[in-house]
Amino acid sequence: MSTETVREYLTEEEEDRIGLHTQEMILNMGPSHPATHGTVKFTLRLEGETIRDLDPDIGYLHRGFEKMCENATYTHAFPYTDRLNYCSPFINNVGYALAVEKLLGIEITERCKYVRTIISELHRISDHLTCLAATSLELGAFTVFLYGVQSREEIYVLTEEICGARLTVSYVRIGGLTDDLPESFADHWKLVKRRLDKNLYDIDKLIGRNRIFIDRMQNTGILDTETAISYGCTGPFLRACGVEYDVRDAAPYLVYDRLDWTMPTGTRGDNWDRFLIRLAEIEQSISMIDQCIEQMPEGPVRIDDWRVVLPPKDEVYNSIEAMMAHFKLIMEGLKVPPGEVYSYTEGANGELGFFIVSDGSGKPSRVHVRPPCYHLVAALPEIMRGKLIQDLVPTFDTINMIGGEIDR
Amino acid sequence: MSTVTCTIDGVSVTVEKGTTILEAARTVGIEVPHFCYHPALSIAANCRMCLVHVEKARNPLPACHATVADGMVVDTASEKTKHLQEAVLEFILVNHPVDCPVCDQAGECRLQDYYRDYSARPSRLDVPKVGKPKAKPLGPNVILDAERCILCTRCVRFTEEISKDFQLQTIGRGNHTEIDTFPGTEFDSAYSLNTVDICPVGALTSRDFRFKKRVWLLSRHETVCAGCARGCASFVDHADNTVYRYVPRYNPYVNDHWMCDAGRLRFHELQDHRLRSVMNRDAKGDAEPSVGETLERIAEALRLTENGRLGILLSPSLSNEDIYALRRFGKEAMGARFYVGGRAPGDADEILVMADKNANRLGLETLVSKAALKSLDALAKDLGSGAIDVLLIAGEHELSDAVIEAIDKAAHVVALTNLDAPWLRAVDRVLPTPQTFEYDGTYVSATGRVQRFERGVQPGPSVKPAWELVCKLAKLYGYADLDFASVRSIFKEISLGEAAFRGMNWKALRPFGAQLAGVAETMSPTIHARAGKH
Amino acid sequence: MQAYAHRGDECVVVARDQLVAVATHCRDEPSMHFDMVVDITAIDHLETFDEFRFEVVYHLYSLPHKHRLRIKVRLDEDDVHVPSVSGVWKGALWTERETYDMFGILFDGHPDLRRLLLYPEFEGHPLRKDYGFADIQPLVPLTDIGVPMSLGTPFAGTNRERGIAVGEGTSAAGKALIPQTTAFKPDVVYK
Repeated sequence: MSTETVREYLTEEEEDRIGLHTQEMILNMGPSHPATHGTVKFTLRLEGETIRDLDPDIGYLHRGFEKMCENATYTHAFPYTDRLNYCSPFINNVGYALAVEKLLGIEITERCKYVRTIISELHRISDHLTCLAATSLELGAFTVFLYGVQSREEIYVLTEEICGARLTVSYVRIGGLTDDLPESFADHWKLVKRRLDKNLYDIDKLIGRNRIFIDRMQNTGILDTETAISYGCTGPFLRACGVEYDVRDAAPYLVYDRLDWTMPTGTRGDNWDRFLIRLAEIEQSISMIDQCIEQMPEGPVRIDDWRVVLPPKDEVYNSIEAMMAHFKLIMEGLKVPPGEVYSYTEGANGELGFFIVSDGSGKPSRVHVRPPCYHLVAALPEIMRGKLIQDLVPTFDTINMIGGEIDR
Repeated sequence: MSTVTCTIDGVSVTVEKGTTILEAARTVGIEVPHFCYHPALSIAANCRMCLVHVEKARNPLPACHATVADGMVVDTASEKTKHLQEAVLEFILVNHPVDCPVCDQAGECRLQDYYRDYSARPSRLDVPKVGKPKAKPLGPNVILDAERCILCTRCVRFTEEISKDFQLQTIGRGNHTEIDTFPGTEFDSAYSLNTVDICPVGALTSRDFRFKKRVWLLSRHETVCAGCARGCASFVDHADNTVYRYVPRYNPYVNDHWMCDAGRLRFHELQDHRLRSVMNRDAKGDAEPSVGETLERIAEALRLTENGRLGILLSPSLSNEDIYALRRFGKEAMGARFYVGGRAPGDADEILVMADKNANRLGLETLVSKAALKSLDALAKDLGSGAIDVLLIAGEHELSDAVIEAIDKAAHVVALTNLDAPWLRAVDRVLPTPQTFEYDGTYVSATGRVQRFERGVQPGPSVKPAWELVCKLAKLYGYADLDFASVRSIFKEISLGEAAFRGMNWKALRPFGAQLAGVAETMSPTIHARAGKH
Repeated sequence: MQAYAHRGDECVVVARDQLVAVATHCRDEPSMHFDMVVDITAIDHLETFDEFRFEVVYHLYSLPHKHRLRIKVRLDEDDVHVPSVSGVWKGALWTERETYDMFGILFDGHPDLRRLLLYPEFEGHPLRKDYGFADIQPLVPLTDIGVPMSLGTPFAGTNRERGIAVGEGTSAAGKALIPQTTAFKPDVVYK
């Protein structure tokens, strides 16, 4: 990549090889493109159908999340985190809450840990379904898309039952949650699970052994393990390369160390492995949710400290202590002792990290999100150099770039 | 001056003998919570919030009262002390009304802050709260809400020791104690609003500020009150380019922790009667003439004036920088004659209020020597005899009718002033200048203290400080030597050129100012009043 | 060099000229084996600084040993250069671009230091604390076919070569209220 202009003519050898008098072409793929879900622009330097160079141009969905958090109290930031990875907002909420609680040095209640695990896994299923559905859609398997979206729709209905919103959840709070799970959750989950199992079975039947699909996905989009690690890739991408790294296993948080689950890994590091890993992870997540519902203890879902958690409303109206606590928490925000912390959870695409710096007041001094798909898209030029443009579609799909997360 | 060494929370502290534990802890940055203690008032030790545990002492001691002894080990932050702080807060809050949403003190309330930082526990006491008078005006400026009062008696001690008029007292006893004035009297002290500052809760609040703005929406800047020659250091709290209140700033050399009510409330007059637009008497049409245009006309008129026929009427309410710019232009470019006017003198008292109601007389007399400043009578005579063609009036003035008549007869009169005044009818051109809280500058108080004030509120587009206008005018007139980039460069030149200001540094004027050379440094009169107290 | 741990995060402060050596050592030394740079970002201490204004923060992770490290480099306001570690880890390529974009910190030796999230004509560096909120950014005209390659296209070199000023903040916004702070005391300080 230098200041040279477009090459007008190919060298003689290349002309001989190709048999055509050709010219390199610069093609913009995006930002509005049916095959790039999420606004991103690829500037491709094409020679025929071969990609000579690829430059991803992100930032079309940059909304200044980090700057906005500096002007908002710690609690105000929760609606902003919803909109990071908007396919799995619960995971963002939980990740941010865990980071602030780590900086505060407080322990949440047992039941809260279980509920947070349940909702994280629920939205992990939703995110993986979206990725699988979109991948299949872009390779032509429209029915698979509909099956995936159907189950995702039911998960959205379940989410709405939990917190009142399908996508903009803002369910988690520092020191707990807004409210406990609804009583009907376990029963409704059983219904969702039944349909989800059937849909996964159907998806497998439709494309699991489909020649065209496998040909497009297998051996395309390969990145060798060492380069992937150097780029900082994590999540299903890295597991497809054969590296057994999952934050839930390496540094268990919430109740993941008490659950019985396996980590699916791949061997070749290609699109097909990533696709299968996501399918397998959905099944693991289903099992995890079942185990959590079984193991979950009764009890409060918020901690009892009024320095962090809002007091109950009837006390706020009737006692001066609760009134003052409520007043200070809302007007100034909860005070976090000065310091800095980096807290990491396993998002649907890999390690989702929050780096929070506090200056002792109720507003964070700096909030930085480490998006998992950021490093994956950074590695994309290296994956695609010399490959065909049609491989870009499944590769980009299985990387699962979420615009809200990468641009923040 | 012997010293003692003690250990507070593991930190070794060495202080003068007789220092209290609270003050000693402050020197190393450890803050012991307190309500009734105030550094300028006597010690009451009735709130019990500052109780700390001292090794080898049988009971916990109030840190505001107990003095430090050699080898004392004090603990202000352990579980034991925390337990005490929680208990004290629990008791203080027993009868406190649930008023935060309607209380002015919210956002700067010690109860709220201490509850959050030191307790945050729900109360175990479930008893009906005692009812007391609410929203009871104590006087023209202060309103009392007796239920919120925690009876720290700071206000009572203030009226006894500082303002010395004994206007507030506690009445009743036990649970039903209240603060009140003597029956039939009002709390009309000239310093009543200081009790609002020192009240740690929302019991005493300012009637002027009541319900106007929530404090966290206010921005705070440092300024100097221009009500009289004392020049009390203060903060101006403002939002949306409007001033909401003045609050005193601590300066031990000038005003200690206090300000008088009249100076505090003067900002209403400054905002209501201020000039906003340029006025040219011979302008045609309705459009406001621009500052540049007006300055050009003035420069024209000056070019036609001979040397020595310009008169400059200075006010002791101008800042040092304004005076310096006017002096340099007047003397060097035009050989002008200088006169002094200003606001009329008023009442004084023994505490803070001074008779001279101009903020910067000493600065004026230092920069333009007293001999060179002629009186208003001399001005009237010179105008009558035709010795002056052009008169430049700068600053606030109160002029008698005779002088205004004389001004009217002059050929060309220009005013650079900030307030509307009756003498403006005699003026041909008016250029508005900003109020004290709208520009940066310095004043010299009557005790020789040079203090800095900074710009908080944005003045309107046509409002420029006098020194800036004079520099522009000099340039248009053709005198190139008067070009200052900012107020700091003027102050630098003053500090280099004037003997009295030698060695002063703009940055170092924060927080307490600097003393003028040749004037003995004095402390605020209220400090003399409390000399010998803790 | 300063080392401390806070809330379980190990952190070390490194001088700027030692950064690349330390980074290479962290990656290659078998007992540390930090093979992944998880994140690179910066912190602007405008309201509370006396010696250094910016801190560039590197988060490292080791897959075989499963341990983490935070490296910080402290920078003065007038001298915002840091050597790039993109030769040590490829993950630094984009994260350093973003830090440059948001803070104006220049990474010497980075092969392609240009704005990542914001468009090339953007003025200023938004995550700096003195970035003017109310500033209006220049609008960019619709590019037409025939625009020369040198302007704004991705394969055309760094911002510096194109003469776009870096490191200059826009007009200062109103002074923010100084937050009440107590000193940051890390949980564990290593001697």
